[in-house]
Amino acid sequence: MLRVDRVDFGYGGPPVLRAVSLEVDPREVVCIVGPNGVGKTTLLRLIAGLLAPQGGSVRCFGNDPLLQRRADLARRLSYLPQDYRLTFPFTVAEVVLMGRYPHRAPGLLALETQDDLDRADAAMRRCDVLELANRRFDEISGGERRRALLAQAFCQETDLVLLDEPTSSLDPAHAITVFEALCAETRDRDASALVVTHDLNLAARFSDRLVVLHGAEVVIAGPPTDVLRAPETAAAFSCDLHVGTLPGTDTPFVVPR
Amino acid sequence: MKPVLTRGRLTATLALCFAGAVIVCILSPLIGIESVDGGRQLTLLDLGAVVEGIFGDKTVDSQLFVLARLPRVLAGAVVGAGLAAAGCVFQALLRNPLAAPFTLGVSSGASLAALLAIRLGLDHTAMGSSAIGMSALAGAAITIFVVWRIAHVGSELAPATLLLAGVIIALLCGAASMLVQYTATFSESYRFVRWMMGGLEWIQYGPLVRAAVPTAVGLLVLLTLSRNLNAMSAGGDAAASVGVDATRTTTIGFFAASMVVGAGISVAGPVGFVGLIVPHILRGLIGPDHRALLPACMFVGAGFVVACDTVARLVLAPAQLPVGIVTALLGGPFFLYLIVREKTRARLWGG
Repeated sequence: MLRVDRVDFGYGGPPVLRAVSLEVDPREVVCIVGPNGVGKTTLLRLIAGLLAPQGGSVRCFGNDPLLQRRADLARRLSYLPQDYRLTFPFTVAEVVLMGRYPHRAPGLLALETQDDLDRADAAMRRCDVLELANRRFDEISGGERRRALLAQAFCQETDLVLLDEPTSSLDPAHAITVFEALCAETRDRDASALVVTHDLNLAARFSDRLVVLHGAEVVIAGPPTDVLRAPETAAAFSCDLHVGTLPGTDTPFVVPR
Repeated sequence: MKPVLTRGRLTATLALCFAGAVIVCILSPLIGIESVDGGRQLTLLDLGAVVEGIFGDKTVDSQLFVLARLPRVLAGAVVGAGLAAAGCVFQALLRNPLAAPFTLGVSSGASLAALLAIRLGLDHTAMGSSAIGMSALAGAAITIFVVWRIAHVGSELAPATLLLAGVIIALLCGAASMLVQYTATFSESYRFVRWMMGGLEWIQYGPLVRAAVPTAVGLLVLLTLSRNLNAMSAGGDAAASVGVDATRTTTIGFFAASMVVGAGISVAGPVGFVGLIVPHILRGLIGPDHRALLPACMFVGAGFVVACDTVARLVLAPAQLPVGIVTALLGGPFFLYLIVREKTRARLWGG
């Protein structure tokens, strides 16, 4: 589905990514973790075809994302940037419905169909923002905005979702809701997700695989609990990580020390 | 404000705006001022006589309507529709509430070229009176291309670079205009200042068609971009995620909108204010979705300029005010009222 092969990238100074390789298979939720400034967002932008790699290759669904028409790519890949600021006072429902833009468009002005409205409705329900539908996007809280944007990504119904810190301003209960919705979404539609996050507990609990970026390179990747116990991960975060499981369950948790 | 744009709401909104524009465009040429016993009196043409004259034997009323007043009204509609739509598009592309049709230097380039035409006396030679308009159109085209060339870095066309390039070119053209004006005679200088005020007084059907065709083409292109403009509201990356190529949309939108503005300037000079306030007022009334906002801007912009020009034609009759003065003097206070009124202020611009 997604294959990143020995990709190099830099913004002119020292390299931001060096020989980074990564694969995401159908129905997988993969989390990328790592300290600030290691190139996590850059990696997502390379995959989304917003930057061109300076070495190596990116293949989404077998093709170079840079060579595909944006509208074609957007039917298979959605990308939720970390920073999302609207210029105009759109409502939450209008923002969510933008996720339907890559899909068919009847008429000169390309209005949404009833089918689009139904899908947006379902996505908003899944992300718990349905009661915010008529509110102005710039007047709801930061956490509510993240959820609304996730609903936009869901109703886009792509095979691969790239999320940049989707839970960064969410309360714990909604953060769990978001990841549960994400897992259900990938399972139901045979889709996959690649998520950049700083929440090691959510990553450990919900991802199929964990990738640690440090010093412009992938230092370790694999099943979450193994990766979190590895010395490379502790070195990347420059602290010890205590990894355990909740009593009576197989849910892992992490405490940095 | 309803949450999303449905077909019914779109149709109702646009039908209302369109009907308003049509009513203004029919009423305006019926109204005139007659001198009666040394005083002035508002008179209305007989609509029946006008219709009868158009479809049967010509009447005085129909000749006055069709030949004297209609071209001016149609030109006002073309210019108003183009300026309001272009302003709306520039505000969306540049994500800047101060953006207007003339922000990126189109009018400054056109003005400089018009001034050169006056200074070199082109309108007294073979090209005749349309020389100034044609020259302005050429000036607009050159400016558009230069601004685009400067702002286009690699494959990117960033809003901030475009804005800076446009404003600097506008200032440069302004300075060059002053230099040319400094060397001009008193009469040339007056004619230039008069042209800068914008006016629809001397319009005939020929120049009207020359402006209407590129305006119609440009507006059609802009309408196909309306959904992309919504997506661009959140920036290039977010637009790309929903399948909108920001650089492509910016390039097409910039050229189409500039073409519309250039065509308008070539017949009416730079009529100010329409392109700034009509999009703001409508965004507050019907919301930011460009699929409703952009066509609404066209209709309301047309009606607004025709209404202002009617006032300009009547208020000092038989002398006639340049329409640009009326658009600013009527539109400015109304817009300030919207800003002062708390209820509407929040809806004028997001964030």
